[in-house]
Amino acid sequence: MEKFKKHRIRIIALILCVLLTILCVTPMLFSFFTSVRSELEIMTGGFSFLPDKLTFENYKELFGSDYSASYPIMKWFGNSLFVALVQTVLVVLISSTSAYAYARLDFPGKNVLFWFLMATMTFPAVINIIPLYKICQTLGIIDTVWALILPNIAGVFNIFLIRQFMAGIPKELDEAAMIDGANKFQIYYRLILPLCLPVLIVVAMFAFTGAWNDYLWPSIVMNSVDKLTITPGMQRIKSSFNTMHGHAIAGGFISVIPTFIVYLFAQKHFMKGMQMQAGVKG
Amino acid sequence: MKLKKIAALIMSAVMLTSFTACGNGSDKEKGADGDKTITFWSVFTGGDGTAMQKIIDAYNATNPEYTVEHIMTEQGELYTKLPLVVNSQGGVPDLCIQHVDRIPSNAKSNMYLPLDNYISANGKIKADQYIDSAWNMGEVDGSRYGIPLDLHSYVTYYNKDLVEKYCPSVLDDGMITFDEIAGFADQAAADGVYTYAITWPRYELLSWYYQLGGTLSVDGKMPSFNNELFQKVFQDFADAVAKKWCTQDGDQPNNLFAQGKLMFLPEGTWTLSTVEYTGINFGETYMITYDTANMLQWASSHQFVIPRNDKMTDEKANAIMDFIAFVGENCYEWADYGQIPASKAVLNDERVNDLPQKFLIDNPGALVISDYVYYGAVVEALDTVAYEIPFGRVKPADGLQSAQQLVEDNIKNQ
Amino acid sequence: MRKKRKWSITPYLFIAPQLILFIIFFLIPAVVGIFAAFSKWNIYTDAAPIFNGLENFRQILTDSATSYYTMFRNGMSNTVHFVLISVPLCILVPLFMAVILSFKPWGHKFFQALFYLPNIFSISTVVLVWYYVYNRNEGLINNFLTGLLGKVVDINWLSEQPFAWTAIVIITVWWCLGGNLVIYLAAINGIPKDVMEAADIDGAGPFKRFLKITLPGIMPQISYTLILTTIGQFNLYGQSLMLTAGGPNNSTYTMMMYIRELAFGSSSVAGIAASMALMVGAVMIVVSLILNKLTAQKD
Repeated sequence: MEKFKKHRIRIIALILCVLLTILCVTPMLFSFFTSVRSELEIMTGGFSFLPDKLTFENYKELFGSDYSASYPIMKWFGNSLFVALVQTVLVVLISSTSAYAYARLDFPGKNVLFWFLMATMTFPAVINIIPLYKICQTLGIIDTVWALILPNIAGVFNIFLIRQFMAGIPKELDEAAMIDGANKFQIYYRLILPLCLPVLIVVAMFAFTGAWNDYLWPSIVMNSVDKLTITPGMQRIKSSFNTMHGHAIAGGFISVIPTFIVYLFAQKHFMKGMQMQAGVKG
Repeated sequence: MKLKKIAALIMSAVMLTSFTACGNGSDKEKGADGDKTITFWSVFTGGDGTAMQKIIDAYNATNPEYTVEHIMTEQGELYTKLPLVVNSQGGVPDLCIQHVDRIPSNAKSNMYLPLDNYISANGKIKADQYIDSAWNMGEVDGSRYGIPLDLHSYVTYYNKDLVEKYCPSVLDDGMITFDEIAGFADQAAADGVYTYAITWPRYELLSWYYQLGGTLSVDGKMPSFNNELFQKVFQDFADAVAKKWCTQDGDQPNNLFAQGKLMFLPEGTWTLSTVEYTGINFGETYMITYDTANMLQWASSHQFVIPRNDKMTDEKANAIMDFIAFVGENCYEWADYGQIPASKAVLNDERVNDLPQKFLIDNPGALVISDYVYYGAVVEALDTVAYEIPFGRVKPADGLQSAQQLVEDNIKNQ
Repeated sequence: MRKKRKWSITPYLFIAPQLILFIIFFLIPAVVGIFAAFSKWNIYTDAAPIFNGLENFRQILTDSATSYYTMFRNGMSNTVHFVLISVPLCILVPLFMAVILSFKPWGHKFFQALFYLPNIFSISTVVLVWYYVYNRNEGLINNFLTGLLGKVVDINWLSEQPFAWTAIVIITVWWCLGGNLVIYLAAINGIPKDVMEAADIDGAGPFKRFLKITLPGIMPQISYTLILTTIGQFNLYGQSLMLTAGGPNNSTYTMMMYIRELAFGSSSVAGIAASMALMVGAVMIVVSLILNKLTAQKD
């Protein structure tokens, strides 16, 4: 009884968690089971939670030769991975060098520049989107990955996050390194950057998920079907298979698989990063 | 140390993906001069996509110098995307399918290449090989922009068992009228059977509006479809929904038809393969009509166009003409799938006589295609209200007023 | 104690890459974007916007004879309604879950990972996976309710209000609760143990403890997520486009959909779109300033 009392609140919490899990997961299960029904069964069979006859023909057909040029799912996935990774690396590189200068170097105009950048942080991106298209067109990067990557790496928020973190590192470290004969770049690369790892992970995660989930912008600047990223690519599947639910849902689940696998392995880092973010802003 | 590890991991991943990405890239770069692929964007996303793919596979099997790559895109998406593609000149497809009613306005906004020189240089494509109405509409202000693939229209698929049960004599003249429907629809509704359906209401409504003598624009310039006649057509549709003669909002008519809960399925000629796939006992006939004397079906025509493309070469254009000519000669597949090929070559094929849509192939005069230059704008405007009014969410006069306003604003900005 | 140092180019090399990209891809578009709001601009045919004063605003705000007037009112009202409903839910639901998880039930790490999972999906995937659930005749929800209530439930989830908004809000909350959940959880875990234990010894129940200690302790995080979530939700686009296509009767059409359509449609009226964007942007700034002020006072 004593033991029960001690655990009472944990038991209630567990029950609530299980209920929430059912609420979150059941729709997914239903959709998954629909995707392994044949189109004929979906059309004529009406509602059924479980398939009468399990079949993977919808999945097979999506990967079949008829659809491989129109819905190159694996290519879209590769494009997304490429864009998201390059963008992440560039964001981390560019924001951290910049943050390093604002946090730890002295130069004329530093404060004016920094606060000007910070002031633009609240500027809503929706205003930029039309001229941005025109600029990408002028630069000749429409329908290339650079139209996806370049406009997204100069974000000011990241500089703010990293600068805050760097400002907390004792100045004496730099001076000691300087005496040892290290130059500014070496200090940044060898000393400060490794110390900033936690905040860099947060920034990297923001960059990665931002690039991965971007929908509106790629659908405007990408023309060729085989150069699309997965998020607008899935919209192609949604609209094309409007009356073929099995195929459409199968497409959705296929696009989940790679992300899901990455998440399974990186889950711990993901959580740590998100917690870091809470700490940084706290 | 940890940072280095992670950085190394990311860099290797980037290099790996960039390697593959560059691989694709260099393939495409070749496209500028030496690529032997015709990128073909179609609006065929259902069984029509499969049928077109069969024709293309047959063409590619003849070992042409340029092979065709078929990319299917839902038509709304294609029409949204094409202006951006053409105006940015990035990744422009070599060949594209357009509905003929879109061609006049798009040709005026400089979205296509004129085909006259390509056709005469190639020599395989001739006007007399095609149905006149389909061929003539591909021309705008004396220049040819489109070569027809087909005529397609809305028809009625009927469930033979349900017809036998509720209205065995309705098809004696091959036509179904609203007067006849009024005689048995209540009885069917009482049994939970819908008599007809809202599927793609723009096609249905325009067919009925034109049967009654309506027109989209009196002067050919400004829209004038917000009138009592069109309002009546909408109102009748809304009443049929309210009386449960017609399928309800959120229903999926194709599925209901497959399940034997819907008697008449108004659908496109292109739906034939889907209906056949369900294995139901069905027949195909004209649209439900107000007046058997004026039996018009709202229709359109798929046309091949070449989008404006700075990189187009005469050699490639010639290969494209070869492909279009091939489709014209080998279009039975297209008819088999439900459509009415624009090429007369199909009539030489005896198998055509057994097709359910034979009655339309023999009577292309029943097909009415919009010649209103701003029909593209009408489509966008009507497609929204065409669902809202019949389901009773908007009054016919209000909905048509806002649709007409949308078209007018669109014209003002062109 | 500032050292006088010789002017050096090094710091500028550090900030240059970001600044150059910032100018090309942010500053210039921002300036042009504001200018375009006062211009007529067809991005296909005009190289630059053509200044036309307040004409765009006159049409959008006062000229009820144009469709832009209706579009703006409709889009703005829809977007604001969505923000008002979904933002509180996107804060409260994860907060509730974080509190539950903070009691560390068995397997809490697993549940945390599970609840976070949808956050990594893209919106198009989310819609693909969900939309058949909402199907009227064959979907999960209606059939579940039918079984539960013993009478036929045939709600038009995607084409009737208020259900269409409910459907959009449900997938929005499902999709993005993970991010806020993890932030709150970290913040709750960051509250010193002895403070919590002191409250327990004082005999405070879980509810009182939440109000007195947990909530004030994580207020900074709530404030921060509130502003970010609000700004994010103003950009509502994918859910409406893919799930309801703006229907029924344009009641889920959002500002972003109108802006995209007007600027990049078959006839580009980018000037009008830019004016709308400017006004949405202004609203976003005002709202986030207000939120900032409100929550900062409670610190």
